[in-house]
Amino acid sequence: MAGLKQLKSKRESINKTRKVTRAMEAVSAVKMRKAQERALGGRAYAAGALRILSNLSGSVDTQNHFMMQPRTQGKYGIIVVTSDKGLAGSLNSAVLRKVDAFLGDPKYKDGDKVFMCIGRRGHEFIRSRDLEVLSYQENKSDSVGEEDMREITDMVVKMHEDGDTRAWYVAYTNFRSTFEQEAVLRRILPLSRGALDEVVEAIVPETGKYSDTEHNGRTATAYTIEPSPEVVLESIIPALVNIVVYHSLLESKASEHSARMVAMKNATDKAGELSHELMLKFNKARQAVITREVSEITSGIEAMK
Amino acid sequence: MARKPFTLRIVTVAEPIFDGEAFELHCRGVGGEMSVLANHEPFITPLDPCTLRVTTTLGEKKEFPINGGVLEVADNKAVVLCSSDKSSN
Repeated sequence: MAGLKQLKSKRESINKTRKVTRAMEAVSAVKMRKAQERALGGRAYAAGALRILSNLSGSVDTQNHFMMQPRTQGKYGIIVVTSDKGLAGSLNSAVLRKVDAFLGDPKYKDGDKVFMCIGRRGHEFIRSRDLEVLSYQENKSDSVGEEDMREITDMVVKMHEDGDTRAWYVAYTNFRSTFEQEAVLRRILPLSRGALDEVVEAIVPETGKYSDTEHNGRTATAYTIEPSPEVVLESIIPALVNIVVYHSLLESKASEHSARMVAMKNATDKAGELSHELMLKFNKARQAVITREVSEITSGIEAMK
Repeated sequence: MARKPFTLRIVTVAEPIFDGEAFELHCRGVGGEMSVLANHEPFITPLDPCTLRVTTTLGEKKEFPINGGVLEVADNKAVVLCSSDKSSN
């Protein structure tokens, strides 16, 4: 009888777990939808800023701006965007693997590395390797505003201006679809047109509400630029850095929720399977007990005759 | 006289806050206060923190406090990239 009881309680506990994972799946689905909407909302700005940059490049040599020139001296800065919580499949480990590959790459051997961490998982990883962490914030709230990123962006821009760093990278998870997220390590400074185009390509959707913004600005119009192209460039470059950082955070958010949703869905399915198996086992065991009892009774009756 | 409309789009990093037709956009650039009307010449300028005043084609007057940004005008289309000033909302 002990076996029966055990099976029963095990099945009950699995059913409870299944309820929990199913609820988490539903919660993640809602959060994912919201995160996707937010990521989409920012695309108009990113496309607009890039269009202005490309228009400016006609009248001012953007390649000569100090934020765009490659350097050979200084540290490497990396912003690591991960989630605070687990239960999201291989989401964080994929990002951290990218960071690990960067650390081991002989190309980047010649400079110290400094880190800014958004999200606990990345912070723990960096700290466990005794690397320098300049700033750390938790990746808790889903409603982070662009203002919250300012602190990081300002610090990045300032360090780069001061010549402390030679390049800045951001490691995050790019949201491609609900079932497909991709860990990427992208260079943000020095800025380059190629890299920026890549970012916008990732940001601007192929069709839909904001898809037209990118194309109709490609006409070569002679602009009046006031007070001077340099001043406009000066104000737009920090904005671009901010966008890239902010967007990597939004993409990570959307990825985190969809990865968790998928992980939880798998867990729910597996729990259902297990529960079914256990039920069959339980029924078999119960039937065996009944059969045994019946045969005991009949043999008892036989003996009394 | 019938006023001519132009397409105006005001976007923040988080989301577009205005997207439609307008008669007039009033703002403060680094060179001083100014208004943008239809068929403005192609133009790019940074904006100071100020309140954008928009007169829409429906006759509504709308105000958007901003924390600085960039204005771009081309082909009868104005785009304001800005960070919105949440504190005054």
